[in-house]
Order: sequence, then structure tokens, then C-alpha cells
Amino acid sequence: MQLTVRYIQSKGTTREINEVVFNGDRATIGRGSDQTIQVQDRRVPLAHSMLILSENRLELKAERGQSFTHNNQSSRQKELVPGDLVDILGHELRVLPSEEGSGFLIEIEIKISDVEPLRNRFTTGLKQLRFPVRALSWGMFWLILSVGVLIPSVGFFVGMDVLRDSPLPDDSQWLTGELHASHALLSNECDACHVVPFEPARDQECLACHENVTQHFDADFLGSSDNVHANGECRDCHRDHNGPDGIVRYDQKLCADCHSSLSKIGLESSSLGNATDFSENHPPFKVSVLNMSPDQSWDVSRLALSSPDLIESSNLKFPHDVHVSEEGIEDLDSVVVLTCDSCHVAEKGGLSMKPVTMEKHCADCHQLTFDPDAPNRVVPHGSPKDLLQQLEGFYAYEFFQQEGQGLDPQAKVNAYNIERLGEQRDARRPGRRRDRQVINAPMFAQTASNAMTQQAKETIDLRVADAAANLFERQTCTICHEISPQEGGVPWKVLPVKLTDDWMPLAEFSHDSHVSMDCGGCHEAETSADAADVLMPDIKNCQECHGGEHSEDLLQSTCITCHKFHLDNQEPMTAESLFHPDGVLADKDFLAGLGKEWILEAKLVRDVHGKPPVGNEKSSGQ
Amino acid sequence: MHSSFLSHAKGRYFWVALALSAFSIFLYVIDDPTEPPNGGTWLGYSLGTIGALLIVWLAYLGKRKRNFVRGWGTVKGWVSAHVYLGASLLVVATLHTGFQFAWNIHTFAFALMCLVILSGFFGIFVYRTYPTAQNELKKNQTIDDTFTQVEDFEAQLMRLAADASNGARALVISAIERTVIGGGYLDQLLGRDNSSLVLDGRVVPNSDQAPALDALVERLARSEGDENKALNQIVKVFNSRKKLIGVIRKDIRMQATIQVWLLFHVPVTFALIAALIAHIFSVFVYY
Repeated sequence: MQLTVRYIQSKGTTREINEVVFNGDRATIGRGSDQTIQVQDRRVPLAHSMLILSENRLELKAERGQSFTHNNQSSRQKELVPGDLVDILGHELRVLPSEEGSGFLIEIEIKISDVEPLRNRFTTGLKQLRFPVRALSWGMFWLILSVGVLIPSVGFFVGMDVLRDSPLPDDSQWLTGELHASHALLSNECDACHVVPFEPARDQECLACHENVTQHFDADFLGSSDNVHANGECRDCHRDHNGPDGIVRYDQKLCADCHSSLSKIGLESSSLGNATDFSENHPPFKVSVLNMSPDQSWDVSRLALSSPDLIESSNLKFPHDVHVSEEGIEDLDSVVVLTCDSCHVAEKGGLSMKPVTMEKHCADCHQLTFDPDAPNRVVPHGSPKDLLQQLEGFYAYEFFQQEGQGLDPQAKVNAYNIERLGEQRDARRPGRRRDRQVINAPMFAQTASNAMTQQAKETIDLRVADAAANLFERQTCTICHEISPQEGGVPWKVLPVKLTDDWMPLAEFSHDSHVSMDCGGCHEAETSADAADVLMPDIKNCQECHGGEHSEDLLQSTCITCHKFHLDNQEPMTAESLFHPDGVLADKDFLAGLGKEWILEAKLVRDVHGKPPVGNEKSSGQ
Repeated sequence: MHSSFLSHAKGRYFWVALALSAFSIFLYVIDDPTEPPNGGTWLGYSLGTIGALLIVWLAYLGKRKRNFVRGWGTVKGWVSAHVYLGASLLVVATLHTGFQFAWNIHTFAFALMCLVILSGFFGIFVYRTYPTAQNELKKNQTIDDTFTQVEDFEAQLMRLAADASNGARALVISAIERTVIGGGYLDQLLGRDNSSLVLDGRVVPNSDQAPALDALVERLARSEGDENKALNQIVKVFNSRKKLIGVIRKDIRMQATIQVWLLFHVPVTFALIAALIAHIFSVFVYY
């Protein structure tokens, strides 16, 4: 079939007409170049529809998804007859009657629209909004750099306090973490510790406040080793800005670095055993034992608890077993049951025990009576010389009182003499008398001496000697004290008593922390009949509960649980905080060269920190 | 053959990033510092150095991967490295903090870094899913094609309306004239429709063209004869136009979403680099 297509291109008022003749039975309509009837309009799909030509019949069929308007009716497939008007996306297709009676004539008017495309009428993409990415980026960059660095840095030149007092951003934003509670007051004063920019926090700022913090070891003694560097910088161990927990090191490594092998770091001569872990590698305990020299001064020796020489030489006689017996002790009229805390009470904090004294703990039962006929009278617990004076006073008073009453003061002496010829009087059972009186009333030593006759003096001396002998040798003093005879005015010497108050001076043990335990669990007092017994427990006792740092079934305990790094018996760090490169304590010239002369000006408080009772050992204790 | 930047070179950078993350975690777990874990231990400094270098490098990559031709490597390779190493930065930097956070410049820098990385994750998500969804939505046509179809429907409607009653004609013309597509940031991102319609002499919202369609359907129900025929056609075409406008609106929303994360990602990266400088400066000025 023949199809004549008349194109009419209209644009505004101009019209352009072309005619094309097509032979075939199918003519396609679309924008594509392969189309029979090409409609050059971007709105028209590449293939829009198809004209199907057959004998006397013309049909228009839209492609899939397309449609057209046929005589103002939307349609997808329609037979066309002359006079029909089809609208294809705004372009008009008119069917005209064929002039020659054969074939078809169609006229297509392609309207090129000047109207702005629909899309351009709207803002359909973010890019059209021209978001100022570059300006915003650099703006934020400089804003943050200014607030975070540039403005606070002005404080280094004008003083940080000026900024802090102003509304401008200061260095508080640089705080890297919460300070330890004891330093929290410095949270807004970074320069209290960080004095020189870009230089690590210096010791001198620490020691400005912590001037009494002591060294770990005696630098004079150990400073000869190059390997000993435990007295480094404060910040090596103390790292702040980690909140309330971080500032003190508790780990075993802190100590094990050196104490795993002291000989390796050049301390072959050390009396300390190596230690790395409480349950796995720790020497048995040693204790500081007191020894009295002939001149009655005391020195200390360190002995292992297993040592056969271990005795406590306190010059006190005291059987623990009797005193803590569960059955109690028979008093004059009752049974007294004593427990450990009847005498041993911890100081506040529990680190040490309050001293046990005769007056507080013993005198209730152990009354210092001296005369059976004056059972209410006791002598004071004091020096023998004072004691004899008190006796003299008492018996002089008694002598003259009896004489004044017409009695024979000699009779008592005779009676004593008779008694002394017989059996020795038993020691009086300890017990309480509520009406006791100390015989230290201001009696008549002066008046008596003037008035005493020779006879009176002899009588009184005899009675004093008798009572004193009883007190010192037989009944009272000797119960608890070591008494030795001596020449001179007082024939008895009471050896001085000194109890050990710190068995392990380099370890800290708090009885408060162990208050839930039974005393007998550690101290075998119930079976100790002799004051020479050392009742300190050995390490195995502690290891029943305490393990090392990584222990899984025991209390995790590190070195710092019991030991301190900064030892009480050492000098303050302000005095010795630097070593010379050759290992000895830095001298003045060396310090001056480093610009650390301040150390020389630091206050020495060595005298305040007395050496502990560890004798001549420079380093001791576990 | 096409492969995604995620599977570039058999996921080479995925494995690099995974190894870096795993190694960092391993070191963090076995490290037993003498102080609480923080940025100032040897591991803290190490992870911090790696993290800072990564940030600078990733920022450079962000710029570098836009240069399609110059230099070595492929765009896809750079994107792949940027994505995976950026993700591993989240692990490295978090371990660097030792989980110590506070109101200070340091945590601020960390927070900015997280925002950059998370916005990057969002970018990956939209790049991976939206283009396909958009193509399906538009049936593989371009947005211009769709607009053209709407134009066509509107032309048809105008012609059809010429045969309808005055009221119907006014309704159709008003609906077409007052249709709004796209708009500002929120209009595009939320697919907000600000179209309106003059109905009974009042301007009313014409969200999703539904009120206009309802009004036409109502008129159709009440009409007879030729008016009914004309309205029937109008309603059909109007409905098609309504659907297409809905497609366009969705497409604009997705296209805006694909682009908007980068408007966040880039400026916050600049902010992060400034905060990083402040972080490093302040740590060492008060060393």
C-alpha cells in the first residue's frame, strides 16, 4: 500500500511542508532515526506507535506503554478514517481523503514548542540550591582552630588567667581527663603542673607540694649502680588525668623490674630476697628482733621466723597461755577471762597496736602490795629507788603511829623475823582490791628524820629491807621482771623492758582490715608459755588467703598491698631526685648544669624522718 | 566486567582494614598498661598516630578519588580504600581513646570523626541502593523523559479540558498551574509537596494532586452526556499525570539524599581536621 505523509513543521508563524511517499504495510512513528515517520521532539519516545496499512483500512497502534488521543479520546489502538484527528504528544496527525483513491494521505504537524521545559520551571536538584560546601568547610575549619588552638594560645603570652576571667575560650577545653580527687582543685590551673609548654610535667612542680615524699632507697648507699634508676621522674609512675583511680601504681611490675633479681642490677650485697609475686616468688618473712647490749641500749637484728635463734628478749616474763586461757584466771573472788583485745588494741587505722602498759592492762590484777598486814597498801610502778623511799615513808609513819598509841613497834619486826625463819610466804595471788591506796602520800620524811631515834631507824630499815626483798625477789616485781642484784644503794636492778612495736617495719599490716579474723589464726598465743616466743606468723599463714596480682582463687595482692614505694626511713626526694650519669648522687655543679639548682634549695627534712628500728642495715625488711 | 567498589580487587582493602582493626584490638587486649587505658600509653600513642595519619590520608583520598585521570590507581580503588580504611579508623581511634570520654576538645574531635565516618556509611548505603531503586521507579527512563511525559499529559489535559465545562476546565488548569515539584532542601529531601489548587474560589493544598483528582471524580459522578465523556478522559489522564509526578517527587527525594550526605561529610571532615590539630596541639603543649 502507498502512504503519503505530508510533514508540516510549524514554529511560531513559519510553516515548512514536505511530502514523502512510503510503500509498505507498516509505518512506524517515533523519534528514532529508524522510524518511518520521524518526529524530532525529545518528548516523543524513540518508537511511539505504528500505522498498519491494509486494503482500505488504516489502523494506528501504540507501542507498549504509549498512547495517543484520537478525536479527543485517549486510545492505544484505533482504526483511522479520513477526517480523524490524532494527537501524538502534542503533534497532530490528520487523516485526509486520498486524492487518487488509492493509498492513504496523512498530514503530520510537528509543533516545536518554545515553551520552557517543565523541569526547568522547578528546582529539582540540590546542586541548583548551590550549597556553600567550600565556604562552610573552611569556615568550620578556622572556627574550630581558633576556638581550640589560636585563642587559648594567646594565654601563653598574656597569662592564662586573663583568658579564664574573660568569656573567651581558654585552656580548660584541653583537659585530657578527670584529675585525681586530690588534684581536682587544680582542674582549672593547668599551669600549676604544666609550666613550660611542650615540656613534660616536671618533678619540681610535684615536689613543690609533696616536699616530704621520700626516696625508695638510700641513694648514698645504692647510688653506685647505674642500673638503679627507681628514683626517676615522678610522672614515670604517677600518671594523672585518669580519674580517681589512676595516679598510684599497684602493679607487681613496678617492683619486679628490679626485685626479680637484685644482683642483676648490681646489688649483690643486698640482704633482700628476690620477689616477683606474693604466692609464687616471695622470700619467707623476717622479723626485726630487739637485743639489749650490756650498756642497756637496744639494737635490732633481722632474723628469719624459722631461725633457731629467734627469741624475743624483752626482759619481761609473760606466759600468754595462762592469760588467754579459756577457763579464765581465778581472782580473789571471781574468775577473770581475758581475751587478746583485753590488752592489745589497734591504733586508729589498725597499722600499729596501742602500747600495753602496766597501769592500764596489768595493775587491775597484779597489785603491788608489800605488807600482808596492810593489804590495801601498794607501791607505785616505778623506779626501785622511788619504791624504797615510799616504803621507808610508810614504815616510818607506821612506827611513829604505833609508838604514839603506846604499842611496841618492835613487835611487828619480831613477828616478821619469826615468819622469815619458817617457810617462805607464797606469792600472793593476783587479784583486785577496790580500796587500794598508793603509799605516796606526803608523809613525814623530813619530820621523821629529825625525830627518829637510832632504834626507830633500825626498826624501819629492817622492815623496809624485808618488804623490798619480798617485792623484788619473791612476790611482786620478779613475777614479771628480770631482776639482777647490784651493788649500791638499791641492791636490785630491774632490767629494762622493751617490747617490739614493729616486727616488720617495711611492711604495712592493718589489723582493721583483718578484724573479721580470729587473732589465734595468726598468733599462737594460746600455746605460748614464754614471753621469749615470737608470735608472728610466717608467709604461709598469709598465703592461705592472699595470692599474687593475677591470682584466681585467692585475694589478689600486689607488692603495694603490703609495701610502700616511698619508704619512711629514706630521705625526701627533694634532696636526692637526680643521679649523676656515673651513678652517684648528683653534685651541685652537675645540678647547676642542668638548671636544677632548685634541688639544692629544697628543704631537707631528713631529721624529721628518723631511721626505723632496723639497726645498721641500710635496706631491710620484706 | 562491572564490580562494586566494595569488592574492588577481591576486597583487597576490606582485608587490609580488617587486619588493621583486628591487630589493634589484639594489641589492646594483650596490653597491660600501668595506668588505666588511655591515649597516653605507648599503645595509645601508637594507635593515635595511626589514626591521625589515617584521617589525613583519607581526607586526601576523598579529594584524590575525584581526579579521574591523573596519577596512579583507579577511582574505584581509591573509593574502596577510602571506605574500608575509613571504617577501620572507627576501631583504631576508639581504642586510642581507651574509652575515656569527657567534655573536652579531645572527645569533640572523636565525635566529629564518628560523624564523618557514620555519614560515610550512609553515603555507601545510598550509593549502593538508591540508583537501582531510582531506575526501577522511573522504569529506566531519565528524569527528563518523565518530565516530558508529564508535559504531554498536561498538554492532553488542556485539550481535553477545552471540551469540558467551565468549572472542570478551571479546576484542571488551576491544578496544573499550581503544581510545585522540588523546591528547597527540605522540600527535596522530605518529598514535601507544596502544590495548591483553587477550589470553590479558595486556594487549598493539593498534596500529591489528590484533592484535585477527588474534585474531578466528584464532578464526573455528577455529570452526564458529553460532559461525562470529557471528564472521564480528563480523570484518566490526570491520574496518570498524578502518578508520574509522584515518581518524580520520589526520584528527586532519592537524588537529593544521594547528594546531601556529602554536603555534611565534607564540611565536617574539615572541622575534624581542625579539631584533630587542636587535639594534638593541646596534648603536647601540656605534655
